[in-house]
Amino acid sequence: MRNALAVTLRILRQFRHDPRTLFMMIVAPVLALFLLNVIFGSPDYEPLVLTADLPSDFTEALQDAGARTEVAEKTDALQRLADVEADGFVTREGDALRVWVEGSDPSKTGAVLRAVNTAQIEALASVELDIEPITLPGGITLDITDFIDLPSFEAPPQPEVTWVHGEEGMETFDFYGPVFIGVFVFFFVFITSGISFVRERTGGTLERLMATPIRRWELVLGYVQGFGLFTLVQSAIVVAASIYWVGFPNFGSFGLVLVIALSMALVSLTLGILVSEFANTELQVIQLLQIIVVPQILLSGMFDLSQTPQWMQLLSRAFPITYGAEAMRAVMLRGADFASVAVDLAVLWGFLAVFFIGNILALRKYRRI
Amino acid sequence: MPVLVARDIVQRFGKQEVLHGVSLGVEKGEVLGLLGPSGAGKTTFVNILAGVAEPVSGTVDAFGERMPSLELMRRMGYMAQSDALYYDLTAAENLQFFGAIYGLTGAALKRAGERALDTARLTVDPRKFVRDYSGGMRRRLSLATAILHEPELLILDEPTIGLDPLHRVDIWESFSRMAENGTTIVVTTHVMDEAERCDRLAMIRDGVFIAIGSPRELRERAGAATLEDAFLHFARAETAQADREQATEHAAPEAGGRDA
Repeated sequence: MRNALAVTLRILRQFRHDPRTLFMMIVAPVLALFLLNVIFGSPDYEPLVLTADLPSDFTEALQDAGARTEVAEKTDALQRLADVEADGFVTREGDALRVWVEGSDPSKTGAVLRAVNTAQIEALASVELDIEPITLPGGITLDITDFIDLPSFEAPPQPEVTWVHGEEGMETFDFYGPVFIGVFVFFFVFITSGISFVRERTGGTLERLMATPIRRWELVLGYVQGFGLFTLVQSAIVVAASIYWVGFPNFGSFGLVLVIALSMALVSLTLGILVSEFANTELQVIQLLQIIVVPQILLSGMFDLSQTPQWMQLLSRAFPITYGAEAMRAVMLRGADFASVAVDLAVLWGFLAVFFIGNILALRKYRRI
Repeated sequence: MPVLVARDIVQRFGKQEVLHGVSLGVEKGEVLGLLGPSGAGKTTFVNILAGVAEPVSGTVDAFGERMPSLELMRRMGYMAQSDALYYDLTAAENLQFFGAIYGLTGAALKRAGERALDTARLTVDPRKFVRDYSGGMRRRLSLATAILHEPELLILDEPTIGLDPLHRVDIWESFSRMAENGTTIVVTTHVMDEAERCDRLAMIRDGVFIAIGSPRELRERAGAATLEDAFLHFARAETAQADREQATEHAAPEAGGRDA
């Protein structure tokens, strides 16, 4: 135990002498989260729709639906679509509408088509039947509307919406944010711990340590304590910055979010050390990161996997990040309490225990006892 | 009773056998040199003695007990061929770390550190990180971390490589003093004048000991004026014997083949 503390103290000293790593591990994730939030938090895109031969009320309806409009000749309009200078072109062919879209960005195509659909509904609703009273021979005026109700084409009123989770005005990124927090912490801890342990091996200090009376578990525990203390600070800063500065919504307890982030960091730490066993250089740690961490991030549930083949869904269940991401979302978006994420946390701690023991066993390569 | 006994050590890396069943005993207070070219198996052998590698077969006993054992490692010091230091720490922090693992703290650690640095002939700048040290300074700091806890048995792998000749002489004088005080030292070298300073030498080549004895004994047995010549003599004798063995091995099946 005393030896583990010696290792912990040494690691903390190394951190203290290396302000660049300290800075990188805290500033890099916060910076990335901030940039993502600015990108996704920007206003919706207003498509540029060119029009020809359209009645003015339809053009106005398009504008009401969030499009910028410009009148253009057909040949000119098609040329501008080809040059990606506009997003769509709407004109009339006979009684029907005819729409061209630029088409390379599905989100912009969608914005054009949504604007056209909305405008069609609005145009229909604005049609007012107005029947003039008829003056019959003999001076009698007959107003038909006195006898029948004219059909009304008013747009239906906006339905009332109640939010079970979240709140009105949540942006797309707010759904991804909680996952990103966990993923970034995982990613940066993995790199730092993996590289640190590779250095220990290539510098000969690991072999040197194995010639001292330190026990293998003391060495691993020393690493977990040293990096654990550091990642606690790192996670706290990243989570606090995400919520209070970048402005991620958090409907749950800050402490619980921190517990999840720290659990993910510890899993990443022990996995990073274990994986470094298969790397001989710092570059190889990065290469292993690509094969061990990147697929985990893709299958973490960041993207909806419910429609993917079953093997992929099963595979995602084998990755620790999946459980961390799930718990992060549950707490931050749905205000889940400890009991609701206990299973996810237990799985994370299970991974931690497996990797911890795996590291102790991997060190047998150097010394049996 | 010898302090350290290695019996029939065989080591293999993949298919290649690098130690072919070597045995050695080291007495208390003795400076034993392992002399041989690089690639002979010196490092492999001392790593096994220090308990940081395990042989495929064979045993090592230190202080009469079987290695590897954490209790025995406490009484041993080991200096690896690489400097094995933390470059992003200061010299004092490196010494504190290794000292803590041997249970040294506070004033005792400070005294031990000063003594070890003195033995290693190193003055350190308290603010300087090890990465800014010269190769020779790192080597001496590495030695200091190995002798910090006053081990009874010291295993040193090429301790003086890259050192200024003046420091080398000083450090070998420290070794002699430590041996006089009862410390047993096993040291690898490929430098002949260092070999001359050892009480006994084990000449190693291609994973076998070709001769063991005091430098004087070895020179006399070989009828050579220098250890260099003695080494050549024993190496040639070993090669000649290996050739004869190979010839008889080959002759036997051939004879059998003709009979059939």
